[in-house]
This record gives sequence, C-alpha cells and structure tokens, in this order.
Amino acid sequence: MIVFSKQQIVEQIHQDWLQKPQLQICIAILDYLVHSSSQHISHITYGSLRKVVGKAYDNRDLLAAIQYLCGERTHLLEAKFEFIDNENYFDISDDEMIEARETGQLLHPETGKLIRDFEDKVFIYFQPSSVVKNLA
Amino acid sequence: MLTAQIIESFSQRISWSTMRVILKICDLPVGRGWEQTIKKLTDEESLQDDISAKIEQLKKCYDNHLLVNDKALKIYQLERKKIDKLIAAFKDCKPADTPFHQTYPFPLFDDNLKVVDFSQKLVEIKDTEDSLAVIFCTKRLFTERSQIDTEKLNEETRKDLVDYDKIIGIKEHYRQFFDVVVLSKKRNTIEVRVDITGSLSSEDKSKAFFQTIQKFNTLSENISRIKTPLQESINFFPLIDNLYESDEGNVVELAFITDEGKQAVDHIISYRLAISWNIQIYQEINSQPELLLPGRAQILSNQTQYLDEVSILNCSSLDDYEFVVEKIFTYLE
Repeated sequence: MIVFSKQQIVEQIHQDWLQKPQLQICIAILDYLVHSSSQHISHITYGSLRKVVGKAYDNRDLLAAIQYLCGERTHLLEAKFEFIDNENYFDISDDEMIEARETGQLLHPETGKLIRDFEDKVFIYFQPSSVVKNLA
Repeated sequence: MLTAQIIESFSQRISWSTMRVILKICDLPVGRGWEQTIKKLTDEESLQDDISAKIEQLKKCYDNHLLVNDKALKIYQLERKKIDKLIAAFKDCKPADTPFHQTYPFPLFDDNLKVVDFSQKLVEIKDTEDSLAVIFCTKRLFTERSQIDTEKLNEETRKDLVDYDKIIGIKEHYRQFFDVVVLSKKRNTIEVRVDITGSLSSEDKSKAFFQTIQKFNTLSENISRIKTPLQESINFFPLIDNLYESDEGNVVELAFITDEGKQAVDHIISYRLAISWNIQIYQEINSQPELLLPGRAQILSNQTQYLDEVSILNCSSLDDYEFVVEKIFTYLE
C-alpha cells in the first residue's frame, strides 16, 4: 500500500485546481478529515460537508469538489449507499445497488419486501478512505 | 350570544393557556376552564355596560387569530411591482357568497359543514396598513387517533382483546380550515399560511399547501393577468444553524446527526429545530410563540439542503406572529 503525506495531497489538490474555489473546499474537507480523528468518522453526508466548508461556496463547486475527492486523483472519500426509511438507516452494498438498478427492484433489508420508488429513498453518504486512515 | 360564540370558536383552535393570555390582553375575567369563563363573561355582560368594548376587542383578537394561528408557512419573494399590482386587483375583488358566510368568521356547525363540498372558497379580503390578506375556508377530513377505554367494552370483546396493551381508535371527521395568503406592503414577499390547528399529518399539510397555492395562482391570473406568482419558495434550511448558534429563545426540539458515531457530539449537523420565546405581557402572564423548522434527516443526504416550510405556533396576537417572522428574516440574512 502506498502511504501519502498530507503535504503530498495538498500539493496534488493545488496542482489540479489552481485558483478555483474547489481548491479551498478540498483543503477544508481534508483538514476536517485529518483533524477529526478519522477512525471515529463513519457517516458523512452532503449536509455535513456543507457545514464543513461554510456558506461562502456555490453548491455546484462543492459537488464538483466532493466528486473529485471520491475520484482517483486523491481518493480521500469513499461513497456508500444507504436506504433511509422513516429516519431508519440501512446500508446498501454497491453490488445490491447495481442489481437494483439493473432489475428496477430493491428489497427492504429488514422486511424483504419490494421498496416502492427506491431511487427516491436511497442516498449517498461518505466515509474516509484508506488513504486518509493511513496518512503519514 | 356573541361572547359564547367567540369563546367556543377559540376553544376549537387554541389551548386553554393561550386563551388565558388573550383574555388578559383584553382585560377580561378568566374562569376555571372554557365553560366557567363563558358563564363568567355572560354574567358580567348583564351587570356591566362597559364590558362591550372589551368583548369587541376579544372579537378582534379572534379575527386576527385566524390570520396567524397555528400556521404552516411558505414564503415567496416577488418584485414589488407585481405585488402592488396583485394588491390593487384583490382590493377590487368581492368574494362571492359561500355556505361558510352563514357563520364566518366563526366556523360552521357540524351539520351545516357536512353538506359543504371540499373545494376551497374565498371568504374575505382584509386590507390593513401593512398587508393584504386573502382568506380562504375549506372543509377537510381530519383524522383523529385516540385510545379506546376497554373497560367500557363488554366482557366478550375485552376477552378477545386481552393480548393487546392499547386499543387505538381512528375517527375521521370534517373540520373547517382557515388558510390565508398575505401580500406584504413592507417586504417584497407573499406568505402562504396553511391552517394546521389540531396538528395535521404531513400529507394533509402538503395537500393543503397545494390547494391554496393553486387557488391563489388561478385567482391571480384571472383578476390581474399575473401568471403563477407563487413559484419557488424561500429555503429556510440555513435558519436551523443560524438560530441554533444564536442566543434566541429556548430550544424546545433539536434533531441532528453526527459524523463521528457515539463518541463525539462536537460536530453535530442539525436538521430539525423548534425555538420558543417567552414574551411577557403582564406580570406572570407570558405568551410563548414557537417556530418549528420541521426538517427530516434525509435533507442532509440530498445534494442541496432545502426546507420550504416552517410552522409558527402558539401565537396570542398578530404581534407574536410578526415577532417570529422578523426573526426568520433576521436570521436568513
């Protein structure tokens, strides 16, 4: 496994975004992941990342930055799926989600019954990736 | 007769503690509970002449109450020019006679309400210094859940139900709702206030909003040629953090998630908040208007956090309501 330092990742982000707003957004999220003792962070939503970066940035810029942080260039965030049913959360694996999209059907993880309009009830959340956990 | 009608109409819509505040505001005597108060007031009416002015004030409080309590609210921003044009057009508009006018502003008696259809009806257009209110009445089916006292059932039925801890009955009955659209003369906004007295389900509330917005848009187009003035409403979501982090009022409800599991609550992300304020009216008499930002956890999982409605509850007067609305605009900036 290749271990990166925080400095290397910061340089990578600078190189990729130059003076664009995503530069500051990515750095803010990296700082949050590093300072928050990543072992404890297990469930990061779009809403929590919005809180991390504050109100100064446009939503499109935030979404582009999140997409970038999930991608190969830095891979700081791991995207996961979850089904939310009346404030109850159920993890959905990538394979289950691929199958659901292919068949158009998703079964309720607890009842085993078909979920109506499942695409409206499945959301993405994020976890710190192994890159963050192994930062030098 | 009028006094009893006012108090009885209030009793269908507010708690006894709010009623006490209103009676104090009007400098009227307070009895023990609704019935005693009606008796006390009617007795006083026969003894004193000067009580009529206070009863007039009570009636005014009732009229104002219909505009503000309890309401779920959406706010739309519009150009001043368009709002002024709508105000001018509505001022010239005379509501047609409807079955609700038999008793308006008081609600219809149950038997009369039964025969009214479900369409929303324009009942009044009220012009004041600060705003113009377009008031609608609607009959809706209201679902009430209550626990059944099994002691009152016969022995055989009680035996059949012995394995159950609670028996819940669902009763559906008709109620008259007062929904209001308010065109502001001070701000560039139109407020849609849906009547949620008796706590409506979120599905019924959505239907009520849909019905009121559609009715107002159609009316506006007919009388002023302004097409669909109510389109995208204000996003209240930023208010949750802004108010929570402020020193405003008392937090009476907070729902949040945390990224960090059980160990830490220093990074909480809130999605639902209720704040109430204590406003002293007289010594030992406080009004407690409340603002509820009714978000759900799913909002945080959406790519954009959008909350398009709030609820304003427990207002005893127009001033209470305006106080809460001012807070909304202050903390949205």
